[in-house]
Amino acid sequence: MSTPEPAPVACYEENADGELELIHRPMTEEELADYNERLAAEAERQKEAATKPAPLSDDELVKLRGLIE
Amino acid sequence: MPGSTPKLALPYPLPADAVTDYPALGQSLAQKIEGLGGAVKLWDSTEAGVVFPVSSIITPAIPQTYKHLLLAYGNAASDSTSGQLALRFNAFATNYRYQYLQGAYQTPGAGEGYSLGYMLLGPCGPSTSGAYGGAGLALIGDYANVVGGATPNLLAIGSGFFSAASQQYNVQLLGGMYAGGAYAVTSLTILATAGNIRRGRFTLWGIG
Repeated sequence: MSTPEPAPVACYEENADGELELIHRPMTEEELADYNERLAAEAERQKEAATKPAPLSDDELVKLRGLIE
Repeated sequence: MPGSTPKLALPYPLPADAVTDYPALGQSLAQKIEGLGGAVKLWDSTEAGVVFPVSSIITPAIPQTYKHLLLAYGNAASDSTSGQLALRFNAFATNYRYQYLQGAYQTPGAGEGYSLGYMLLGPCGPSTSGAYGGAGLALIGDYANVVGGATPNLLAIGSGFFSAASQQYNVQLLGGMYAGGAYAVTSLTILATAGNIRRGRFTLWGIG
Protein backbone atom coordinates (compact mmCIF):
# COMPACT_ATOMS: atom_id res chain seq x y z
CA MET A 1 0.00 0.00 0.00
CA SER A 2 1.38 3.40 -0.91
CA THR A 3 1.31 5.78 2.02
CA PRO A 4 -1.97 7.69 1.82
CA GLU A 5 -2.01 11.32 2.91
CA PRO A 6 -3.99 11.61 6.13
CA ALA A 7 -7.49 12.89 5.40
CA PRO A 8 -9.52 15.07 7.76
CA VAL A 9 -11.59 13.77 10.67
CA ALA A 10 -15.35 14.17 10.27
CA CYS A 11 -16.83 15.02 13.66
CA TYR A 12 -19.24 17.34 15.43
CA GLU A 13 -18.72 20.65 17.13
CA GLU A 14 -21.11 23.01 18.84
CA ASN A 15 -21.63 26.19 16.80
CA ALA A 16 -22.32 29.70 18.07
CA ASP A 17 -26.05 28.92 18.35
CA GLY A 18 -25.31 25.91 20.56
CA GLU A 19 -26.23 23.46 17.81
CA LEU A 20 -24.12 20.49 16.80
CA GLU A 21 -22.52 20.98 13.41
CA LEU A 22 -20.57 18.53 11.25
CA ILE A 23 -17.00 19.71 10.65
CA HIS A 24 -14.01 18.25 8.83
CA ARG A 25 -10.91 19.09 10.81
CA PRO A 26 -7.24 18.10 10.51
CA MET A 27 -6.06 15.30 12.77
CA THR A 28 -4.65 16.16 16.17
CA GLU A 29 -1.06 15.10 16.91
CA GLU A 30 -2.39 12.16 18.90
CA GLU A 31 -4.69 11.08 16.06
CA LEU A 32 -1.87 11.43 13.55
CA ALA A 33 0.39 9.23 15.69
CA ASP A 34 -2.38 6.64 15.87
CA TYR A 35 -2.90 6.87 12.09
CA ASN A 36 0.82 6.32 11.43
CA GLU A 37 0.94 3.45 13.91
CA ARG A 38 -1.90 1.69 12.12
CA LEU A 39 -0.19 2.25 8.74
CA ALA A 40 3.02 0.74 10.14
CA ALA A 41 1.09 -2.25 11.51
CA GLU A 42 -0.51 -2.76 8.09
CA ALA A 43 2.91 -2.63 6.39
CA GLU A 44 4.22 -5.21 8.87
CA ARG A 45 1.19 -7.42 8.26
CA GLN A 46 1.75 -7.22 4.49
CA LYS A 47 5.40 -8.10 4.94
CA GLU A 48 4.49 -11.18 6.97
CA ALA A 49 1.82 -12.18 4.45
CA ALA A 50 4.34 -11.92 1.59
CA THR A 51 6.76 -14.32 3.28
CA LYS A 52 4.05 -16.80 4.30
CA PRO A 53 3.61 -19.71 1.86
CA ALA A 54 0.35 -19.59 -0.08
CA PRO A 55 -2.31 -22.09 1.06
CA LEU A 56 -2.57 -25.27 -1.01
CA SER A 57 -5.15 -25.36 -3.76
CA ASP A 58 -7.88 -28.02 -3.78
CA ASP A 59 -5.96 -30.01 -6.44
CA GLU A 60 -2.77 -29.85 -4.40
CA LEU A 61 -4.61 -31.00 -1.30
CA VAL A 62 -6.05 -33.99 -3.18
CA LYS A 63 -2.56 -34.91 -4.44
CA LEU A 64 -1.13 -34.59 -0.94
CA ARG A 65 -3.87 -36.78 0.52
CA GLY A 66 -3.09 -39.35 -2.19
CA LEU A 67 0.59 -39.34 -1.26
CA ILE A 68 -0.18 -39.75 2.45
CA GLU A 69 -2.62 -42.60 1.85
CA MET B 1 -64.99 7.12 26.66
CA PRO B 2 -62.65 7.31 23.65
CA GLY B 3 -62.29 4.33 21.36
CA SER B 4 -59.04 2.54 20.72
CA THR B 5 -57.53 0.67 17.81
CA PRO B 6 -57.66 -3.14 18.08
CA LYS B 7 -53.97 -3.99 17.65
CA LEU B 8 -51.97 -1.17 19.25
CA ALA B 9 -54.73 0.25 21.47
CA LEU B 10 -54.16 3.79 20.18
CA PRO B 11 -56.89 6.00 21.67
CA TYR B 12 -59.20 8.17 19.56
CA PRO B 13 -62.38 10.18 20.27
CA LEU B 14 -65.75 8.80 19.19
CA PRO B 15 -68.51 10.96 17.64
CA ALA B 16 -70.64 10.03 20.62
CA ASP B 17 -68.20 11.66 23.01
CA ALA B 18 -69.99 14.87 23.88
CA VAL B 19 -67.05 16.20 25.84
CA THR B 20 -63.60 14.75 25.32
CA ASP B 21 -60.55 15.60 27.35
CA TYR B 22 -58.30 16.22 24.38
CA PRO B 23 -55.12 16.99 26.35
CA ALA B 24 -55.48 13.68 28.22
CA LEU B 25 -56.31 11.84 24.99
CA GLY B 26 -53.38 13.46 23.19
CA GLN B 27 -51.02 12.58 26.04
CA SER B 28 -52.24 8.99 26.09
CA LEU B 29 -51.76 8.74 22.33
CA ALA B 30 -48.28 10.27 22.49
CA GLN B 31 -47.22 7.90 25.27
CA LYS B 32 -48.51 4.92 23.34
CA ILE B 33 -46.58 5.92 20.21
CA GLU B 34 -43.44 6.69 22.26
CA GLY B 35 -43.59 3.23 23.80
CA LEU B 36 -43.98 1.38 20.52
CA GLY B 37 -40.21 1.22 19.98
CA GLY B 38 -39.03 0.19 16.56
CA ALA B 39 -35.97 1.63 14.88
CA VAL B 40 -35.27 5.36 14.93
CA LYS B 41 -32.64 6.77 12.61
CA LEU B 42 -30.12 8.69 14.70
CA TRP B 43 -27.53 9.62 12.11
CA ASP B 44 -26.62 9.06 8.47
CA SER B 45 -23.28 10.02 6.96
CA THR B 46 -24.70 11.05 3.58
CA GLU B 47 -27.51 13.14 5.03
CA ALA B 48 -25.05 14.67 7.50
CA GLY B 49 -22.81 15.73 4.60
CA VAL B 50 -19.63 13.78 5.34
CA VAL B 51 -17.12 14.52 2.58
CA PHE B 52 -14.76 11.65 1.72
CA PRO B 53 -11.95 10.78 2.08
CA VAL B 54 -11.86 10.98 5.87
CA SER B 55 -9.38 9.43 8.26
CA SER B 56 -12.23 8.75 10.69
CA ILE B 57 -15.83 9.64 11.38
CA ILE B 58 -16.94 10.44 14.92
CA THR B 59 -20.71 10.33 15.32
CA PRO B 60 -22.56 12.93 17.36
CA ALA B 61 -23.40 11.99 20.96
CA ILE B 62 -25.76 9.02 21.03
CA PRO B 63 -28.93 9.42 23.14
CA GLN B 64 -28.96 6.88 25.98
CA THR B 65 -32.66 6.17 25.58
CA TYR B 66 -32.82 3.17 23.25
CA LYS B 67 -32.31 -0.50 23.97
CA HIS B 68 -29.83 -1.36 21.21
CA LEU B 69 -27.87 0.29 18.41
CA LEU B 70 -27.70 -0.86 14.83
CA LEU B 71 -25.03 0.44 12.44
CA ALA B 72 -25.21 -0.34 8.72
CA TYR B 73 -22.70 0.54 6.02
CA GLY B 74 -22.62 0.09 2.27
CA ASN B 75 -20.54 0.88 -0.81
CA ALA B 76 -17.55 1.33 1.50
CA ALA B 77 -13.91 1.47 0.41
CA SER B 78 -10.68 2.30 2.17
CA ASP B 79 -6.91 2.56 1.72
CA SER B 80 -6.44 -0.61 3.77
CA THR B 81 -5.10 -3.42 1.62
CA SER B 82 -6.70 -5.89 3.99
CA GLY B 83 -9.99 -4.21 3.13
CA GLN B 84 -11.25 -3.73 6.64
CA LEU B 85 -13.20 -1.10 8.48
CA ALA B 86 -12.84 -0.70 12.22
CA LEU B 87 -14.86 0.73 15.09
CA ARG B 88 -14.23 2.37 18.44
CA PHE B 89 -16.54 3.17 21.34
CA ASN B 90 -16.40 6.65 22.91
CA ALA B 91 -13.15 7.43 21.00
CA PHE B 92 -11.25 5.01 23.25
CA ALA B 93 -8.10 4.11 21.31
CA THR B 94 -6.85 1.00 23.18
CA ASN B 95 -8.00 -2.21 24.87
CA TYR B 96 -10.20 -3.76 22.21
CA ARG B 97 -10.62 -7.43 21.45
CA TYR B 98 -12.18 -9.05 18.42
CA GLN B 99 -12.71 -12.40 16.78
CA TYR B 100 -13.91 -13.21 13.30
CA LEU B 101 -14.81 -16.11 11.07
CA GLN B 102 -14.59 -15.61 7.35
CA GLY B 103 -14.85 -17.12 3.94
CA ALA B 104 -12.33 -15.57 1.56
CA TYR B 105 -12.67 -16.92 -1.99
CA GLN B 106 -12.76 -20.67 -1.32
CA THR B 107 -10.84 -20.57 1.92
CA PRO B 108 -12.43 -20.55 5.37
CA GLY B 109 -10.51 -18.65 8.00
CA ALA B 110 -10.58 -17.08 11.41
CA GLY B 111 -8.68 -14.41 13.25
CA GLU B 112 -8.48 -12.55 16.51
CA GLY B 113 -7.00 -9.47 18.04
CA TYR B 114 -6.56 -8.32 21.61
CA SER B 115 -5.19 -5.21 23.30
CA LEU B 116 -5.70 -3.44 20.00
CA GLY B 117 -6.70 0.08 19.05
CA TYR B 118 -10.01 -0.94 17.45
CA MET B 119 -12.56 -3.68 16.85
CA LEU B 120 -12.99 -4.89 13.30
CA LEU B 121 -16.29 -3.72 11.84
CA GLY B 122 -16.25 -5.62 8.56
CA PRO B 123 -14.84 -5.86 5.03
CA CYS B 124 -14.77 -3.03 2.51
CA GLY B 125 -13.42 -2.37 -0.96
CA PRO B 126 -10.06 -0.95 -2.09
CA SER B 127 -9.28 2.66 -2.85
CA THR B 128 -7.96 1.65 -6.27
CA SER B 129 -11.24 0.65 -7.86
CA GLY B 130 -14.71 2.04 -7.77
CA ALA B 131 -16.11 -1.33 -8.78
CA TYR B 132 -15.58 -3.01 -5.44
CA GLY B 133 -17.03 -2.17 -2.09
CA GLY B 134 -18.25 -3.63 1.12
CA ALA B 135 -21.44 -3.70 3.15
CA GLY B 136 -22.23 -4.76 6.66
CA LEU B 137 -24.50 -4.59 9.66
CA ALA B 138 -23.43 -4.31 13.29
CA LEU B 139 -25.46 -4.67 16.47
CA ILE B 140 -24.32 -3.06 19.71
CA GLY B 141 -26.55 -4.66 22.29
CA ASP B 142 -27.77 -2.87 25.44
CA TYR B 143 -25.31 -0.07 24.70
CA ALA B 144 -26.45 2.26 27.47
CA ASN B 145 -26.30 -0.27 30.28
CA VAL B 146 -23.15 -1.05 32.25
CA VAL B 147 -24.81 -3.21 34.92
CA GLY B 148 -22.65 -6.28 35.38
CA GLY B 149 -19.43 -4.40 34.82
CA ALA B 150 -18.95 -4.87 31.10
CA THR B 151 -19.25 -2.54 28.15
CA PRO B 152 -21.63 -3.60 25.40
CA ASN B 153 -20.33 -5.96 22.79
CA LEU B 154 -20.39 -5.70 19.04
CA LEU B 155 -21.72 -8.38 16.72
CA ALA B 156 -21.37 -7.75 13.01
CA ILE B 157 -21.68 -9.38 9.64
CA GLY B 158 -20.24 -8.01 6.45
CA SER B 159 -18.95 -8.73 3.00
CA GLY B 160 -16.60 -6.97 0.64
CA PHE B 161 -14.66 -7.51 -2.57
CA PHE B 162 -11.39 -5.75 -2.07
CA SER B 163 -8.99 -7.31 -4.57
CA ALA B 164 -9.86 -8.57 -8.02
CA ALA B 165 -6.30 -9.84 -8.50
CA SER B 166 -6.43 -12.28 -5.62
CA GLN B 167 -10.16 -12.94 -5.78
CA GLN B 168 -10.46 -11.66 -2.25
CA TYR B 169 -14.19 -11.56 -1.78
CA ASN B 170 -14.74 -11.84 1.93
CA VAL B 171 -17.74 -12.70 4.04
CA GLN B 172 -17.21 -12.27 7.75
CA LEU B 173 -18.95 -12.81 11.06
CA LEU B 174 -17.32 -10.63 13.68
CA GLY B 175 -17.49 -10.02 17.41
CA GLY B 176 -15.75 -7.33 19.39
CA MET B 177 -15.58 -5.70 22.78
CA TYR B 178 -13.91 -2.93 24.72
CA ALA B 179 -11.95 -4.47 27.57
CA GLY B 180 -10.82 -1.32 29.33
CA GLY B 181 -13.70 -0.96 31.81
CA ALA B 182 -17.45 -0.53 32.04
CA TYR B 183 -18.79 2.34 29.99
CA ALA B 184 -22.03 3.04 28.17
CA VAL B 185 -21.50 3.72 24.48
CA THR B 186 -21.94 7.46 23.91
CA SER B 187 -20.34 7.82 20.47
CA LEU B 188 -18.86 5.69 17.70
CA THR B 189 -15.67 6.26 15.73
CA ILE B 190 -15.55 4.60 12.31
CA LEU B 191 -12.15 4.22 10.67
CA ALA B 192 -10.15 2.05 8.30
CA THR B 193 -7.66 -0.36 9.84
CA ALA B 194 -5.03 1.56 7.85
CA GLY B 195 -5.22 4.78 5.85
CA ASN B 196 -8.43 6.62 5.09
CA ILE B 197 -12.03 5.74 4.38
CA ARG B 198 -12.49 6.57 0.70
CA ARG B 199 -16.25 6.31 0.44
CA GLY B 200 -19.31 4.70 1.95
CA ARG B 201 -22.63 5.34 3.57
CA PHE B 202 -23.00 4.77 7.28
CA THR B 203 -26.33 4.84 9.09
CA LEU B 204 -27.01 4.48 12.81
CA TRP B 205 -30.35 3.51 14.35
CA GLY B 206 -31.57 3.30 17.92
CA ILE B 207 -33.85 0.33 18.48
CA GLY B 208 -36.64 -0.11 21.01
